[in-house]
Amino acid sequence: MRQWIEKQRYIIDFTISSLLRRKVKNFGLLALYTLIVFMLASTMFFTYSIKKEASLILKDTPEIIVQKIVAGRHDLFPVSYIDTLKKIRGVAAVESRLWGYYYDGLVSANYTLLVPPANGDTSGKSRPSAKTTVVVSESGGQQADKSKPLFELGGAVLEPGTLITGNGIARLRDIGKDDYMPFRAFDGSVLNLRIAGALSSQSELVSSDLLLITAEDFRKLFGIDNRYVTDVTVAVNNPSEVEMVASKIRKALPEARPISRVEILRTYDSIFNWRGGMMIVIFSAAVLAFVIFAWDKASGLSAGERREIGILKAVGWETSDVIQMKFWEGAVVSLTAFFTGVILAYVHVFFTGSIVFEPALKGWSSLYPNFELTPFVNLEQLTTLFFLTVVPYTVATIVPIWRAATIDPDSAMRFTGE
Amino acid sequence: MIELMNVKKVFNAGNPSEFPALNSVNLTIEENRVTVLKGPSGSGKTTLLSIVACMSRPSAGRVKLKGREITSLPERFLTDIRRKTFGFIFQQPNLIKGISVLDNVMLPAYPLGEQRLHLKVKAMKGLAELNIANKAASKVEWLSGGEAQRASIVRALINDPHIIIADEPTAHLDTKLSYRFMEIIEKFKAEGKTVIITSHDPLVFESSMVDRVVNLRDGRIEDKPA
Amino acid sequence: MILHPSVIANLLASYISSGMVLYAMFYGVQILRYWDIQSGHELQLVLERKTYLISTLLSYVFGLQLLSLFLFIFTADSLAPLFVGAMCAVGTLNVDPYGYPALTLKILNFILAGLWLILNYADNQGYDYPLIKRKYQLLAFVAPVIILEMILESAYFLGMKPDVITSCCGSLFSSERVTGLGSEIASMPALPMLWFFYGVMSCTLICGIVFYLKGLGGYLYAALSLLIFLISLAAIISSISLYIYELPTHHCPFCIIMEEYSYIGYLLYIILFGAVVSGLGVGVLSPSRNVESLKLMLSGFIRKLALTSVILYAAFTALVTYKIVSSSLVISYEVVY
Repeated sequence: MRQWIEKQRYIIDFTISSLLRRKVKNFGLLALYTLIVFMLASTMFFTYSIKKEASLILKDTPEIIVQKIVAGRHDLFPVSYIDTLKKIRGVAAVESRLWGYYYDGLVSANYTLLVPPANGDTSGKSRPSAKTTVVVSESGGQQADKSKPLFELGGAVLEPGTLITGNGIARLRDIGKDDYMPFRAFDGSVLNLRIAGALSSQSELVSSDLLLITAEDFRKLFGIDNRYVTDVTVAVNNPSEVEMVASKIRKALPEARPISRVEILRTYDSIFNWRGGMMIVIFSAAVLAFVIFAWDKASGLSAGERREIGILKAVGWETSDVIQMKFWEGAVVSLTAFFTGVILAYVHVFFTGSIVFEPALKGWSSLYPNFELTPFVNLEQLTTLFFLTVVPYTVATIVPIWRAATIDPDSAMRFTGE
Repeated sequence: MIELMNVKKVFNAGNPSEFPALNSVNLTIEENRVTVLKGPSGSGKTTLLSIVACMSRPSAGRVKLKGREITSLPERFLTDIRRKTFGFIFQQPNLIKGISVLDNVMLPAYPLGEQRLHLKVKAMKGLAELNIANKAASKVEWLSGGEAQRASIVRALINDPHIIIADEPTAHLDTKLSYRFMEIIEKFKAEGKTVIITSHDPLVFESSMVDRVVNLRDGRIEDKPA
Repeated sequence: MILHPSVIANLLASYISSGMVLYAMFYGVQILRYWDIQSGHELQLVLERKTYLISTLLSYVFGLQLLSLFLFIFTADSLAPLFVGAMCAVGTLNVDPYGYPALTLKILNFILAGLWLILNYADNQGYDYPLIKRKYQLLAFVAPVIILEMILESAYFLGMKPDVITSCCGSLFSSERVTGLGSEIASMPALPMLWFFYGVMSCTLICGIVFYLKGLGGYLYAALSLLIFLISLAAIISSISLYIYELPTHHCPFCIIMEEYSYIGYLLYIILFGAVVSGLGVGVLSPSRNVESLKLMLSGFIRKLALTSVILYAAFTALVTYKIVSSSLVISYEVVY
């Protein structure tokens, strides 16, 4: 065993020294390899952590959201329906919500306006105000909207005539506390609201383009009658009854559409899996090109390398020793490229906000959330990455390695001249 | 003792380019002797040497090394026998460029997994014996022709082989260096090693220390006595 | 099909594995047909060189099988949110009928590839390729199984449609619904199962030690090591997992490899797989013990294999025992699940 280890050490030493002797040749391969790993790793880190982020936020959302649908479109929800919902067995609480979008022509951005839940009036127990909803748009597409995030008001009090802004908006319009923001209401009049504070940036993914507003101002701005709200959320006593309650809602209110949290999660997951998968399919062309390049590089041994292997075999190295040497060579190159690529991707995604891929992956972009994703990397991602990069490279080099290793030992005798 | 019985070697068998390099060679090489294989180029010297030295296998016939049949041994066993029994000196020094003389000299011992410290001491001793210890750390490219050959001799000796194989060792040396080389061979003989040399250099096969000259022509041994 | 990076990686791994095995098999057949150790002809020399290629390929396949086994479970686990009712890998594997067969074949192939490498190692020690025919016969057996695995795995992943209602580990491996092998194993009473596990394990270990010391009962040990492998898997489902999760009803063999349980499952499974491969290796090599060219080294190697296997099984038992003792879950005799 000790002999074996010693032998591997010799071989590794020799491998590294011969890699360093061919710096220029190997550098190109290494750079390309690292780039491939970097691109794939960035994609995966990004989609996985955004999925994770979404699922963390969604964890505290109400079990069911109920919307009213008219002609397949999301419509205002009549307040009178709420009592019907409350009567359904298994429903713990029903809460109405007011939210919507406002297009600001000045900066060409879409804001999400939201009325924070009135504390402790609709439901008896005080629920934490951490809620988010993602509503899948009617077309079944990928537009994901958000309304109530994990926000912290930071002591700001919301009263009629004021609003609280998300960080993105504050940044975009360069405004802060006590500034005024004008809005053009549905009837053309101008509504001037004072900024009472900014949201903490804990979860900028959802709160960046968010404006918190009072119910009164919201109705004034959009001209929504008191009898209507945007939608309602339904809390269910027993989590395993969610599907059951949802089907009861569908029965009681045929024009309503209940959306359960699990469905939202699933949709979110599908969207990002699909996006990540698409990116990988696109990159697979790059991986393939790289694999061909690696194959070519491994089989096209220079005369110098052939000679070197011939000498090694002549002085007493065996075919499997040479294969082992080449294996270590591959391992050194692969691991260097893999870890460099992964680390670069980590920095890229989690510290620089994925500058390269942002537009492709995020997909919705009214106002860019300039958020830092919580680093989330697990073994599954790394294994997947390994399989998508190192495995193809390694396999592509097996046959060329074997060819190189089976050079005749007596070829060294036939070398004449330099 | 190495015995060759009816050894044949054919290259590209079955192809139009079929080429018999050796034809029914019978040869016994005794221990502690200096044997020279002599012949014009293309006579099969190198092929014969590579079969004798377990570098390649004959197409037919048998090879016995110290009474043990080695003809049909798998490559890994042949290699194992080869690296423990034979030391190789080639026409060219065949050193690997870019690494130090010391590393080059230790190369044949790597697959054996010997302790590094031991190996280094052994290598340094070998270099000292041929007066090139001061070059141990220099790169191979900086050696003169004679130094390079001496380095390759040290490399051939690193695993302490019984049999030294030298393929046209003086082809690239001037007369003075060739005489130096023959002195080294003499030393091997004194140490009890067996030496097998291929050469068509009179300086080698006419040397007084050579015990036997085997003449090869067209893949056959000529019966003319040495 | 679900376009998920891990799914792509799984399929890629499985295609690469099968490709490599097919390629190896191609030359394997030539070796079976034309091998003639006495010949010095070029064909024989070429074939001998091919053996290096084949054993390199097979060692990569072996490594790939091990890694892809875990990747497979990972993937199944991370796809769970896409399926109604699936909470972990168990549910995802159940979305279509190919999930479990693919997993089983993956484990089988890992073991077979391991046995092939053991045979290969032994063969390389003999100076006349003593096991070459058996080696390539085994390869001829392994190749179709790996291809079958590839077909099943493709069918599994390509046929996947999100939103299919599946059962999750709460129901499949729950003792309430007694249908299917999974729940039958799960519904085995936890404590007796544990005693049974310890009982058979002790026999195995004793048998292994006897074999190591006296060289007797090699086949018995190989058989026992396969048996205890299966029993260990059953014990993980029916009782050991309970202690790890500290829940009296959660019988999932996959969740233990997750982060929440500090990846303890990897250690357990890797030890277990290593133990069964080396244990079965004893049985695979025993018939060749009297081959002339292997006489000197083989029985030593077999004993080493047995020792490795015994040590790994002992480590597995120790780890399991530690988990049970340190768990806050206590299963008493009266409780019947």
